[in-house]
Amino acid sequence: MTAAIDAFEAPAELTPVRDAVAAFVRNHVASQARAWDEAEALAPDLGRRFADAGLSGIAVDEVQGGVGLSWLATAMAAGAVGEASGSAAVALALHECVLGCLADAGADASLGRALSDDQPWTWIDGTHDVQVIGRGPGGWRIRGRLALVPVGSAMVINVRDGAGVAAFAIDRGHPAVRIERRATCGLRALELSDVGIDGEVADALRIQGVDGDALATTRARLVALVAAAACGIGRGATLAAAAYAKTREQFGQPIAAFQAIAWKLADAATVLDAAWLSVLAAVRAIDAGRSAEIAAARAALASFGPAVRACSDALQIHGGYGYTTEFPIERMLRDARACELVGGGADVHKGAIARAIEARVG
Amino acid sequence: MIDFAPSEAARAVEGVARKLAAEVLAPAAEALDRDGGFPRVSLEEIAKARLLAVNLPQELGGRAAGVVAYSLAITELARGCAATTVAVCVSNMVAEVVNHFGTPAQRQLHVPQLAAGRHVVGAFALSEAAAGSDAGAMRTRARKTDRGWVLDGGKLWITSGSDAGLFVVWARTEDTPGTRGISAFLVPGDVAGLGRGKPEHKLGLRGSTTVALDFAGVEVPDDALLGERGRGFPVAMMALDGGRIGIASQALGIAGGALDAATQWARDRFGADVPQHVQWALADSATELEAARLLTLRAAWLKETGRPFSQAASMAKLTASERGFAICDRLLALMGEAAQRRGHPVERAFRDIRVTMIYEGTSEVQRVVLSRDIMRRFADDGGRT
Repeated sequence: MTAAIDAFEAPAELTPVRDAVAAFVRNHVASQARAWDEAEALAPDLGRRFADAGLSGIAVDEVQGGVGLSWLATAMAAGAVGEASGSAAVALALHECVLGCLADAGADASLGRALSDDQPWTWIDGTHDVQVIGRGPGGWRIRGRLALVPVGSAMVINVRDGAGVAAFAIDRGHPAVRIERRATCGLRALELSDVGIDGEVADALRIQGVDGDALATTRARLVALVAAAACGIGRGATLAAAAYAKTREQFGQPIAAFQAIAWKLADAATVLDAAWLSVLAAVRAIDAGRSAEIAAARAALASFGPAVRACSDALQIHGGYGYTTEFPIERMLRDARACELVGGGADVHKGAIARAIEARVG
Repeated sequence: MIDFAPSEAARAVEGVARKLAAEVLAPAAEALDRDGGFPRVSLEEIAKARLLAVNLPQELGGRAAGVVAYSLAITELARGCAATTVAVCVSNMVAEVVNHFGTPAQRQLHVPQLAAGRHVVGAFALSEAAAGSDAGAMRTRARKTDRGWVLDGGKLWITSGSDAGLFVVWARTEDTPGTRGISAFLVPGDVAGLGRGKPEHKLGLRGSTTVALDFAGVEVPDDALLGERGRGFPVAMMALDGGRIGIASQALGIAGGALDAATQWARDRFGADVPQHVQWALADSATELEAARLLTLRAAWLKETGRPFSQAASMAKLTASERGFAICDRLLALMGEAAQRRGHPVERAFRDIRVTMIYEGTSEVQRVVLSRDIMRRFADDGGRT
């Protein structure tokens, strides 16, 4: 099956990171993914575990405290973690986006805090819902409400500031922030919450230099990484279904011998490969410093639906067992469907892609 | 002229179910989904409305309302609570199978009790750990003794198995392999040696219990045998044919409820200016649902009028479950954060409906059955399908 999903093969220079991620998934994710989902919380020291495994600041320069690799390597990590836990994969994606954003802005103090935090941080695009409304004695006054956003130990929140944008690094316990935890269908271990923001935020928490371009860059990174996570979820479900189909016997033979089963695996492997190639195209554009918004939107569009489909087919292959929480498939199906909560809905991505095509033809 | 309108009588039963769904099932559905358990109170109300025996004779406590009325009633109940509804589907199926295959004494004893809810509900014990789609691989055995039969073995995935007061249990009575040599038995829930496992934790339908049953030397009398000895497999297949109409109807109700919620959302959110991607999602969903509804009602009508309905029931179940899941998935994606909150009707529908592609014959089983029918008809009918 690994050979059948060739696009997941790492370039030679990334083989060490691939092996490190695989070991991390084996030792820290696979055995706990179900417990995290049931507890609706990730491990309290997941950020530390990412760092210890060399998965914190993967694309951030070593001089800034990162690993010094690339967004391609980051996407590989998100995909591999996604095979075992969608929540952990999206948490990794969000944390890496925070680190990338802080590193780009040269916000070294905040970057240092995020890199050394036991818990992952989250990146939130609040430019539609939160705005700077003025200044007070305690700093910038910001106000707004965010629906079902991921909350980390701290959050880098992008907000509207007049005609431009601003970004703040705000701890979850900041007095201007009110967090209402929500139960969700999928990505349950990610702390998805309704967040109200109303109050003054000190100047020191504003990340200087985050403009519209920086926002677009981080947004594209997040979309591409969540797409990578979705590909991973679909791949994890497909591999689990393949393993199950080889051992489950009905009508005197392994069910993998039936076309009805085998072709589901073939379809999933094919569309997930295609989706992964679109993720690679997006992260290569990001690594090359090119505009990646449209490539990331395509990756999201190519990944989210097929990941759900692959999980649903994997559930079907598992039959009644797949519908129970004894097997990971039902969780993967929920997680795949919830990726759009963080990575953006199809309507948003299709709109962006369509506008880009129209622009090309004048 | 084809008249697609159900009769006044069927509409009346639908109305009873709609009222129960709105007043009893729907208010309890979210808590039932969240906390699990078994909807005993709702089922008592459903029994009082005689919806546990919609298509059974009045002299046995049923409504004698026919199969179309049954389908309409199940669809309405499922709009309120899919989990409660599956217990109703299975109990109706058990009552019908007893009525169809039972001796007069068995009918007189069990059907009125099932109809009145005195068994809580009936349950259908066919599947085993190694015998899912391949029911012929079952290993549970029934051994003949002087006093009747002794059952040993285990069943899996038994809907309502935690609370049911009457089980139809399939067991191997002969040494012939495969689907031959299987017999059906009526086993009371309080019989000695019957162990009920803990309910499975599931993606959805969390207010319906799905349990393993253990038969350790369960003794039943001779008159527990349902139908002919060694001819139990056709009993199961025939019951499942009718059961598929019930599950198709259930899927229609779940997806219909999701479409209601999505339409309400679209109206509240966009008013008169609904974006085209939302319009398309609603239009496609309603069209697919209508196609599934027509297939389902046609299967019900064929059964009601005594015509062959097996193929129509498979088509209905295949379409209603697969399109129904596609509809719920599409609407969940469409509504995003508004619907991804746990307990939201569309979120629950997405989790609940997924199992309709699995139980009472998976989609794969339906396609196998259908393709055989198509090939047979082609051969019998001079090269036409």
